[in-house]
Amino acid sequence: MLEIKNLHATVDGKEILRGINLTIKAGEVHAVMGPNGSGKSTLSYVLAGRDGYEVTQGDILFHGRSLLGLEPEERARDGLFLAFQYPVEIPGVANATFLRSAVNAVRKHRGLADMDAMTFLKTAKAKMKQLQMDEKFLQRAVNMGFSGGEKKRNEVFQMLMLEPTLAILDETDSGLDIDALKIVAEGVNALRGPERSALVITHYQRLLDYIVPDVVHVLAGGRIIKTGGKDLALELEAKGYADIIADAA
Amino acid sequence: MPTLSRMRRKDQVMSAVPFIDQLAGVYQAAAAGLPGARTPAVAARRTAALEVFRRLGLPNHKLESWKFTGLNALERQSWSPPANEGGVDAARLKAATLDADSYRLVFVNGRFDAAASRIGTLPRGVTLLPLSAANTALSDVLAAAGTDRAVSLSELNAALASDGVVLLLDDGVVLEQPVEILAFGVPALVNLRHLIRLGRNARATVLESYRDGGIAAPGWTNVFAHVAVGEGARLSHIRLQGENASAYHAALGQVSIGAGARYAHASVQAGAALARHELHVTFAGGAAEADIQGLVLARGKAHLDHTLFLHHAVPDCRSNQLFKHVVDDAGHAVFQGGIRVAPHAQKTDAQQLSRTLLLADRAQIDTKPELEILADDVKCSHGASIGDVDAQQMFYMQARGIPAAEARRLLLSGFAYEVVSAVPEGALRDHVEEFVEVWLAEKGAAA
Repeated sequence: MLEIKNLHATVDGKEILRGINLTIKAGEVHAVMGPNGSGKSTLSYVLAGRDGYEVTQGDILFHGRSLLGLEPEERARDGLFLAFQYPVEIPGVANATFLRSAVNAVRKHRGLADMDAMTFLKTAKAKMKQLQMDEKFLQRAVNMGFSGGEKKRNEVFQMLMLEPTLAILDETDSGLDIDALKIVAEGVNALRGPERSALVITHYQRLLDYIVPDVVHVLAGGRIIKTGGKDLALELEAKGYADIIADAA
Repeated sequence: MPTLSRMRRKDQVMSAVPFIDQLAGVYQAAAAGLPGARTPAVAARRTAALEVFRRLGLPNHKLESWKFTGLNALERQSWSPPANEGGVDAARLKAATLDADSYRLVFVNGRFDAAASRIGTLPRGVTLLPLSAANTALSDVLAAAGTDRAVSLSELNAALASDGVVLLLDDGVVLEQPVEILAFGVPALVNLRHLIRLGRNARATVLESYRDGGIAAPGWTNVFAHVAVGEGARLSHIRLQGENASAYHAALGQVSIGAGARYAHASVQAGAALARHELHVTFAGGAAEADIQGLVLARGKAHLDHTLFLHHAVPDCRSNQLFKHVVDDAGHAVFQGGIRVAPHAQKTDAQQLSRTLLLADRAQIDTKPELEILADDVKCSHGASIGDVDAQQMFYMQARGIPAAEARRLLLSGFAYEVVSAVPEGALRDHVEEFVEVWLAEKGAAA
């Protein structure tokens, strides 16, 4: 599904990722944990294709095809989804308009006809119910005036609508209380399946109680310094990052 | 070094009939057919107005209020009065009309087009008719707006006004359906003049729309509107300027707002080669409100100007100005926002904001707040921002699979929506939204 090979990337000329190797097979959930400044968000932006995040070495293969040189929208249409750590506010554009454009762009790419307004509304409402979101969020401008938790829920809502094959969740747990966390995790779990994978980026182990990963990686200084099973997350929680980093050095 | 052809062109201009004389010629040719031509007082007023214009000439850059917009291009064209015949084709008319019940007055060739219009039955206390049928009100309508050079076009308009709308509401009259004024540009000099007067506690909605008549040669539409909002009255006044890309459009509006009244104005300019909509708003009584919003959509070489003078002449009034600009290619937007607070106009609340998206290197905006505050107990603020489409917002949309061109269009539409949403909800807002979307979609096709 996803193969990251010796990935080096710079931001503003500064090297942040220094040789990442990571392979996610179809159906797997991987967690990437690491201290602040380890390169977690950079990794997510590089995967999504954000401007200013320059890959200087290595490659990223998604479904066997290199992502390098593809526009963000091409990656999204191929099934990659990034749930933003800081979802962006877009004044004047209704959530429904935005999401319908996205859904239809992805459908077009898959050779499907546009989803008509009625079907879209019906589908959207069902997904919102699943996430215990108020339907009025459809008519509000994208993320405008949403609380931190509402924004994160809106990210997962978009994910459920777009049905990506690879979901990258960038600190989706931050800003969520425990009830919201459970709902969001259920949303993510609902999408799990043999053909779908996820990369869960988080600072804390807490989210991984609800989205149980197959593999856990520790990212520090732009490299993966340790890889293990789900117990590694617990170990990190108990010992802290400093010890693991010291062990790995 | 001047080339031969350039020199020759200059010669031609010099040997042509001077602009002012040319316009006098237009008057001579048109005078007998203008409304009120057989009423000596009206004819005398028109002749006098022409003389005032001849004396003053066109406004020019030397005037502070015309610093950013020049009318020289008008002098390089030859002008004639509009033809006597020819209508607008059905598809064009349909596309420009409001999709709702309205009192509709359509003007083609500067004249009321009865076949395309639909006034129907009016409630009691409402006068609504084309200027060409308003014998008694004519002197009122042609009254001078001012006699200084900055507003000289309004005197040219008084001399040449061939038609327009007279809307008068008696005290307490509420007009439920909007009044729709729809004028199509033609390759000639067209002068339209409107009078809108709302009595005490009256209410109305007016949509004033200037559209492309499918002209082949440049036209010049010169509009003057006098608007009086009586005590406690409410007027929602929407203005759309979507003239042909080769057209010139100049409009001056004079608005007075009575005590406790509310005037809401939204102006969208998305057409013409050169256009200026100038609005003078005066608070005539306390506790009144004015909400003035504008949107400029400029591409190609379009030069689109909103100039506003808001006069807080009395205490306790509130005004809000929001002007937004989307400028692409070598387009040029101008916003001048004048606010004057008279010495005794205490408790004035006047806010002004200008926001601009410049989408290309050669795109320009001149945005100028001009605040003259002579009272000390007031709340006044102004601000301006200029930028490009937000890169984070673009990335967010693209990361959802939305192609860059569409993401951009959605963001521009969102930017414009703040002004669109100032229009009353329903068919009117849908109409204005559609007007904006059509412009944005053209952009999409070009990109």
